[in-house]
Amino acid sequence: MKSSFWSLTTILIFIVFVFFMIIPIISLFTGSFQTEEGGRFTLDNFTNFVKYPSYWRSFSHSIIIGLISAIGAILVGVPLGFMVARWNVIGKPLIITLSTLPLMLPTFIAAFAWIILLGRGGIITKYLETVGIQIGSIYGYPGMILVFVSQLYSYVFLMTLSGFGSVDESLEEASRSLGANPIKTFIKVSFPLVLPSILSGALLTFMSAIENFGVPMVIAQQTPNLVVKAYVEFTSEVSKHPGMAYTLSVVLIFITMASLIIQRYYLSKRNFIQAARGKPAVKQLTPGKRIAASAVIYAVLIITLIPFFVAFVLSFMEMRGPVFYPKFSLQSYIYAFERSARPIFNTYFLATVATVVSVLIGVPTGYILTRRKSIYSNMLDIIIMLPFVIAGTILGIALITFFNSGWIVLTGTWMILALSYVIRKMPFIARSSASILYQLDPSLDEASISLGVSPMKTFYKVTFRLMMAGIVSGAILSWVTIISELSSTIVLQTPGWSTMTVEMYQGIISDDLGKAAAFSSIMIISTIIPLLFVTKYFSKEQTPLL
Amino acid sequence: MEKKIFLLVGFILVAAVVGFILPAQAAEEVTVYSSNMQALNDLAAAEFQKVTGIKVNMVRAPSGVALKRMRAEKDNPQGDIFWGISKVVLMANQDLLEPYKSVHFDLIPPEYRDPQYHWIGTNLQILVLMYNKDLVKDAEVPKKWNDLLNPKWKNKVAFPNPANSSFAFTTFTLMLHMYGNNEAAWKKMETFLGNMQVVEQSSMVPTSLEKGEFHVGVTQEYVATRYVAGGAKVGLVYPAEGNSIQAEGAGILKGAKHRKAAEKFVDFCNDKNFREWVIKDQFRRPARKDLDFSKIVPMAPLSQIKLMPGYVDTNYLGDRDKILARIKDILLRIK
Amino acid sequence: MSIRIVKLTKRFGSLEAVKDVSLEINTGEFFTLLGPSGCGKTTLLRSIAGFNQPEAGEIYFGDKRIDKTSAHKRGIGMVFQNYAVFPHLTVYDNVAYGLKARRVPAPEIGPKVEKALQMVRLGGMEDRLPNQLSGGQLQRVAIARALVIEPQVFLMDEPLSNLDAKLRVEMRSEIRELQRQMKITTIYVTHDQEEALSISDRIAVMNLGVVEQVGKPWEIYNTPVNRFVVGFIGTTNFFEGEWASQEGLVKVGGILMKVGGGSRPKGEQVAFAIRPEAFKVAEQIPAEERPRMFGLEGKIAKVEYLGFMTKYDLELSPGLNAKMVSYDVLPRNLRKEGELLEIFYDPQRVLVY
Repeated sequence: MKSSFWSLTTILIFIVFVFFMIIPIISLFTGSFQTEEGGRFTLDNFTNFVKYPSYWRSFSHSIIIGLISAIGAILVGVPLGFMVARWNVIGKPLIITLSTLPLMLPTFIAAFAWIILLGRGGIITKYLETVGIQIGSIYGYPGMILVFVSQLYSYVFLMTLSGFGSVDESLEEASRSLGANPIKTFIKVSFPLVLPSILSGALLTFMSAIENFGVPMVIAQQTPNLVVKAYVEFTSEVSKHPGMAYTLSVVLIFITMASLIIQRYYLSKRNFIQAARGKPAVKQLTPGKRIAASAVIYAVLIITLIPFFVAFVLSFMEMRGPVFYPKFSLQSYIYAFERSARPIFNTYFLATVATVVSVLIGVPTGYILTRRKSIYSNMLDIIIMLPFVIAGTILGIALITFFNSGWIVLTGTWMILALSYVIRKMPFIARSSASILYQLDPSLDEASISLGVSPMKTFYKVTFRLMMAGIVSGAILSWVTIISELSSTIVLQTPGWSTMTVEMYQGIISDDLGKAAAFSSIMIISTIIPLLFVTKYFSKEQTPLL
Repeated sequence: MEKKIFLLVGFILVAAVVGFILPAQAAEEVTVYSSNMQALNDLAAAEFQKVTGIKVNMVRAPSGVALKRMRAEKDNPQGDIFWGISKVVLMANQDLLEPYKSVHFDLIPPEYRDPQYHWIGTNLQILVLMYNKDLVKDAEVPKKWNDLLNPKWKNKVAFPNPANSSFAFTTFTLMLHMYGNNEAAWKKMETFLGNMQVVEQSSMVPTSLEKGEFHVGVTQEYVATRYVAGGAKVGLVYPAEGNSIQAEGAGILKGAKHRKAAEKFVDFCNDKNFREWVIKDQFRRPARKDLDFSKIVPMAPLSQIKLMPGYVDTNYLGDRDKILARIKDILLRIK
Repeated sequence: MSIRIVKLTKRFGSLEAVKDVSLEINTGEFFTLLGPSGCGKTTLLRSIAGFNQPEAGEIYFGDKRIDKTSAHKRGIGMVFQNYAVFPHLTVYDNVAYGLKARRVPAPEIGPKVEKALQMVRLGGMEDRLPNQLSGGQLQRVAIARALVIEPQVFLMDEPLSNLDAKLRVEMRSEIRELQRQMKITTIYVTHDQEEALSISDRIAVMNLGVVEQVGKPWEIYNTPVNRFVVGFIGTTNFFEGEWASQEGLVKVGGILMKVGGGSRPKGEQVAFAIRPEAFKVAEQIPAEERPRMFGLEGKIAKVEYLGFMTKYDLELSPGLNAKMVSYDVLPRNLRKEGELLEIFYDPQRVLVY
């Protein structure tokens, strides 16, 4: 069997990743040890980091916000997950779909909409004042926590749902037969088994919160996290060599790497749940209880989706100068299309190109990881985890610096944007391809070969065909999340290559809220339609590794 | 099923490539790095294209970011024009600009233009304190720069980072001058900075203030006026101790790829019709001396605005880096 | 097409799965590789198929050496344990798959597929999808698919292991029939010795990478060459003792048993085996054989009634048990636990090691 084709492919993918991702990141590391003028080795940047409150506060902000968001996500996601897994609530598929929406949409839209609702001049705030209730300021921590919990809780929810849904019924029955009542059974048997899944979801929430750029910029600029601080340092005019930006990036990378190590070596080892064993019984509630429970769940879902609804409504409101008026008007859309049609095209173009490239690289990678194991494939396995560790903004900084000069100059082109998206999405495609392949019987390949079809043709005629559904749904999910991406785009955008998210972000922080709202609506629709397509035609396997 | 997907993907790719190539074949174009607000940028681009047929790539970035990009691209400039930048910054970065004598050169007062034609003023900015009427009662409104040092305003006032905003830098040096420009003055400015909520983009001041994140904000006159005219519950104050007229202008980048189009754009910036429209819609004071601002909009004429005695903004040009470094150090320590 | 395997060795890391194996398989023969898990039978089959690369040795199909040829060019037909029927293709397309790969002209494909499906008794199922078929039907599709291309060699890797017992028995004779009709050289891998004995022309018994014995089924059963083969094929009773005297008496666990085949020096250790069906009760022995038999008395320790036969576990002496089977299942002749039973065996039928 000719394995040279796959060995070559493995090495090629390996080289691509090393060159386009690892080396730029390493240059970040080396940059953090260099002086202002560049060149000489120094630890000044790190001592500055510890010396100046402004820097190490950004560190503590990151960690604290991350932890609180993760805890909040547990408080919301676990009860919800339990209810949906174990009770016959109404419309489970709908609940699951609605809960994944916030994960796909840009979080900073939510920040912006919550300000409209709960800011000091907010609609709800004003209403509450009329009935005598004064709510505090939404800016800073309260706003960030509200946004992160309501947008990221689903990581915990989905993991909990799958966890509770996989606990073998016979384990609980055994516990009860030994004399433990249902509550004790839950505490001593069911919950501990699900705990690793819950914590994995919470960890994802943590990592998403600390790598977020848009939300702190919009709602908490006075308590910036590491990402925001790094971005500010990088774009500041004062220093020629943004050594501090690199330093802050390095600190952030360490935090996320530590989180990832905890996940891999602590949590996944303790995962005792086996997939697809005996499913637990779904408790049939009395009609009254059923409606009540379902109502609670839908109420939570609606709260998390309010921001997008608000943005949608705002996009149809009249604007006088920078102020919204409650009158129907399409002016924001007209304005958006007339003046900023190019960013719309750019967004779709870049997302499509990046998705196609990610699939072209990711699917063979998934194949290599499952069917063509070697020393190189093991290294590849580790390398493709790295994009999960690098925040988008940091990756942007690394790429823009590294490809600024030398013999490949990508800075200033659309390709550097596409590159950043590919680096961030290809691992997801690779992993989902790998998991599909694990479930495919290798004998199918061998049967085809035994019938006279060469290995390469076999891959195309058999393996690829069988993976098709999974690949397409993975590709669509990638596409949808790319169009919402801001954190690396904000750094890498160039003349003529702005995207919808950048326009939205600029609109929010300057006075162009109408355009921001109009683009938000376009983005929401561009996200919902493909998602509905995926859930309708493909399985509902949601991998939170987005 | 797979055939349909392949067709779809193929179609999208073809459409993308076509869409990519087509615009590239479009008519002549010019790229403008502008620090102006997006609304103005978009309208200028549309108008210019309507009048000249030349397409404008508007790249909106705060002056600091734009400057960084221009410096990085020095040997291979991707942009043609630098617009909406304060005179101070234009002068400091003259080496990036190419001389061009605009047709309107003689209509601009000498203090708002470069005698060597590197840049030309297009409009004038005035500093104001903007306040949220819901949060600040009329009696409490701060009337002087010095009021901002009062502890009662702690964390309630938005001030853009001078590193990224030229008018904030002017405000800072203006107050420094007011306090005597010595160590005692720096001590006062440290108190000032401690009181302020320093924001990274000046554009966030009015938006966040209108939403109630801040009670007061340091901003430019036209910004505050737009909100008032739009019906927002905000007001503005000209600080009693004195003000500074900031010229803003445009310049052509050295090595610009679309020189001819760039020249047309520079001229367009001071075109009478365009300027009048900008006054009416955006409340920006024109640099052109033949346009009477207060006749077109009901606002105070320039002569009525008290200037800070003895303050010349260009005096601080040479020490800009040192001042900014010191500000950064203060901010890192106290924020 | 004959197959010749010469000194084949296959290693996985430090484990030698197949050690220096040489075999010759005749044209049209149904040849079985039999052994427990880990004996190397599947590894050997996969080497022949081309799915692993042996470290040493040669494989010939006829005169042509093929161990360096790619798997898809060896002209084999293969059936897998879990069927490996393509889930995204209909039964028809599955069977036609190999024909299309060989660029058989389109008009010929239809009739060939039909004929193959008829052969496996799946006529009429052409348009079904695999998820609509039972395990047995899937395996038939797999067989049809492999045979329709008229391969020179037919390889089967435990094809019946995933089916239920009754189906296994049915299908194994069908497979044998098919093979006889097509006269195709077949290598069959199984761990089920009953299956192997029932359908093979010859069997190679393998253990830990080595071929212990090659022979026709009755040779393997009746003249196993060593303890492993004896133990693996059928059930048996093992005895270990020392030669007691002339006339072939062996002292075993407190009693004397007669073992044929000449005498040995007194005191030497000996191991021997007696098949359960070699023990008979007096009534079952024809008169002319009576003199030859040697008698023992045992107490019935366990009775297992299986409907068509009864298994007795007898205690010959404390710690020394022997199994026997009786096909006399008349209720009045059934013995009970605790009863004493006299049994006889022919010392010449004892297998000595």
